[in-house]
Amino acid sequence: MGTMLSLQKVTKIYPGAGHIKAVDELSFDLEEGEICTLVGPSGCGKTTAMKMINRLISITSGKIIIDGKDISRLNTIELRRSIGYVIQNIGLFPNMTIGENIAIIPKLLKWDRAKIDEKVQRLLEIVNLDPDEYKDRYPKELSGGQQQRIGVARGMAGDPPIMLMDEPFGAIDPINREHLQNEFLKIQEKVKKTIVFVTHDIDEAIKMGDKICLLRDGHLVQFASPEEMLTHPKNDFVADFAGGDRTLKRLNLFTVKRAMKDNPPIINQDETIETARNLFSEINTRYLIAVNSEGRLTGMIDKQDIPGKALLVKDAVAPTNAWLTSQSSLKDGLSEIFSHDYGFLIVVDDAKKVLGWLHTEDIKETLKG
Amino acid sequence: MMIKIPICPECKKELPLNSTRCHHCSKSVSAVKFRSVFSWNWADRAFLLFSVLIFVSFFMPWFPGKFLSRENPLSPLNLLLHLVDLDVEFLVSYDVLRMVLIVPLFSFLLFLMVYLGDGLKTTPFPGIFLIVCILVSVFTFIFQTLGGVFQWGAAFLFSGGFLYYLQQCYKKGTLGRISSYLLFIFILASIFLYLFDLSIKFYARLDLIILGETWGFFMAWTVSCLLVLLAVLYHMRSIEDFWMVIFALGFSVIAYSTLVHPFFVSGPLKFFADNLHETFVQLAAHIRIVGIALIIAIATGVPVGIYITRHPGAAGIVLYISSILITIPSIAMFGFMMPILSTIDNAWDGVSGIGIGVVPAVVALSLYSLLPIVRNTYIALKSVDPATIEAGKGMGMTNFQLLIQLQLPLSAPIIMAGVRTAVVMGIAIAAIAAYIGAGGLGLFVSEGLQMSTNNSVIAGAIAMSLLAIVADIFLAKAEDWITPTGLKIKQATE
Ligand SMILES: Nc1ncnc2c1ncn2[C@@H]1O[C@H](COP(=O)(O)OP(=O)(O)OP(=O)(O)O)[C@@H](O)[C@H]1O
Ligand SMILES: [Mg+2]
Repeated sequence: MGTMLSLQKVTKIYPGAGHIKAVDELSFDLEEGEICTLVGPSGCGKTTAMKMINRLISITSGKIIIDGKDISRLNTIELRRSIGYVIQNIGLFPNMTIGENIAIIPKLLKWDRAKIDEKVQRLLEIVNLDPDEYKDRYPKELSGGQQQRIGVARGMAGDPPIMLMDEPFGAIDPINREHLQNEFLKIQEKVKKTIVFVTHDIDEAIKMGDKICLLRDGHLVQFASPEEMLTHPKNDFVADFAGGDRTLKRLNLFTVKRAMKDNPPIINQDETIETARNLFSEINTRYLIAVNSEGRLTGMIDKQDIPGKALLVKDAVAPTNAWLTSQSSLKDGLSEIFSHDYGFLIVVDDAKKVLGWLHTEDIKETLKG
Repeated sequence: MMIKIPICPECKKELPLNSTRCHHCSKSVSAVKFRSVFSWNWADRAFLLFSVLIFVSFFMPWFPGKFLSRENPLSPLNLLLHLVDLDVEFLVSYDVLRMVLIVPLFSFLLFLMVYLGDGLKTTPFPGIFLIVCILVSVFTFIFQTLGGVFQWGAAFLFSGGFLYYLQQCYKKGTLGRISSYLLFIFILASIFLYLFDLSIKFYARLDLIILGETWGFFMAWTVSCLLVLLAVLYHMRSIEDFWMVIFALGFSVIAYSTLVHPFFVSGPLKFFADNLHETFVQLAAHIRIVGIALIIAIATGVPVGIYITRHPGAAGIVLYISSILITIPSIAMFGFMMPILSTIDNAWDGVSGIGIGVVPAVVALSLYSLLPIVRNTYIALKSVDPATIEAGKGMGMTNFQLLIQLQLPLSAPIIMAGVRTAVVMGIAIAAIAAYIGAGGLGLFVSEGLQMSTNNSVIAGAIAMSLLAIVADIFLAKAEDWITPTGLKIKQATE
């Protein structure tokens, strides 16, 4: 994996308008397969910086290198076809159906019919719109959020190695946005594209970015991984922008798995109550996690709430929902801990096998690093 | 003879007696309203038929004593003239008489109907008709006194009202549909008979013609009236229906006197009938001039429009020049064309004679058509959402691909609107081209003016307006057809 995209002292001065530098000597390198989120307040030059990469805006000075080639020497049209582009105001072609809109780049690239159809089908599924229902509709028949999703699908259609996305999830409601972000990250796991992702939402930047590039008035303020930006903000502006709750934000960066302890108090539900009572006194705990013979979570036993006539653990188990899968974020973990009385959380894998347990202390440890 | 039938207060449709729920709009009915209805027995029908026939025969030549004739000393006109001691020549015309007598009479009936008829306030069209008829009677009177040209105005007004009436009848269900069909057949029959059978004579000049000559028309008229009456009487259920019969008959008289006669018997349509071949030849010439000019204008205007969209500096100049071109009076434009083209002609071979005739006409017309086409192309391309263009560019579309796949499809309807303007304008301006020997329908006008034959002038004008209307309708269809489906959809409410 080498450097895929490199900006070297890129500057943009718009003619007129008092020769203000919209982008001022911006430099950063992006590895292949990384997502770089460009954030900053409105008007700080995010869009400008991004559009210089596919040469929609000319560079005043500096250089942009993609895969070792200076873009100013490449054919503009070919350069643009190799870069997926999702614009801030969607820009669907109103005279074409949704299917045709998505197929624009594949058609420019002269793919064959069957391949294009299949691609359109798959992309619509990815952006959570039923292909049969939406493929033959026109953009005007879609809501703003749906249009934006089509915009994203269209940008991905040509399988470009690099993608530029300008606030692609801006007009989408939180639930769908979350879904799209997760889907997008999942796809990214597989396809490993190099992506420049513009957003003004720091949470989104933290969630989506392998690197965050924080701009202010055209200057680069800090270019760092989300973790570093949250733990070591370079100056007050970064700290402010990241927000007073930036420590809490870091919770998003870790999975539950990373923080959990893997020695939970487990008991097989087929054991006798006697064994359970012994275990209670042995490890001095109030709760035991009951599992079946395959190690899957069945519930919890409360020491103070064992029915008198119970013989087996099974008879005393109360079902519980104080568990999360290991890929969940620490933020969800913390919230889950607080919403139950146990003081801890059971961590399971996708098959509900118990992997460990999580206390608030573990979270504190993890954040300390 | 009058009975009341219950109607639903919501949808105004009839209800069965003692029902609590309307089976049309399925709302429960609390306060039932009533509509007054004629309950016809055959005696009533016969009476009505008889009275209507009497009414109609006022206008028929065989009415005893020639009620409206001047030769009858007891005719209302003569009585009137006696009373006011006036000798007003224009009143001699039978048309005027009918206008003066019939229209106020109908207005009065309508007035009675609207203000006294109980269940009638539910339908708007008697009211509209009252207004139309009053206007018509006033205007007709004025126009008749002012002379020929204004009579045309009245005729047009009437034809509009008549078509509206037909349409309203048509909407009124089976009965209305039948009466509108019959009316239509009646009018067509009258036209036919007059054009091909009776040609010159008009029954107003009763004193001058022999009845035998006009029997075809009267037969058609009477038979149609009877048919209308019978159909209506058979189906008639309410007061509205009754008044519809009256309208139908009255209107057939008014329509005849204002529409059929001046148009078809003595007017421009007679001119067409007499000059059928010539009409088609000139129509073809007219279409050819406008068509060629249009093709030239589109072939140059659209590319120029595209060019100036990309070169804003040129846009101002080009639009300025084309708007100056359009302000040059057409006669002057043709005047310029002749010496310029003659010079070219002389320099070239000197025999083809392009200085006069079709060539200067086509050149001048294409210059005129440039402005609407160039301007609309420019505006249309400019108004394409910049975001879509940016998206297209960003995806790696070439300028040409953007133009073909995005900008032109989105602009097509507006460009087409420009073409429509150009065509309608071109058809009008081409009339002047007759003066420089290009032919076309303008020939009828120019010749008519020289020889003071009004019918020729009017026939030319009507033919050109019809051509313009037909072309416009056709192009509107084309515009609709060319508009991308995705643009026709109403924006979803967000
Ligand atoms: N075509 C232009 N001509 C002149 N100035 C421009 C032009 N486009 C942008 N600017 C200026 O450049 C600066 C950066 O604009 P840019 O569009 O990159 O902002 P942004 O960070 O994308 O903001 P937002 O979050 O609102 O989209 C702004 O101050 C803007 O006014
Ligand atoms: Mg922006």
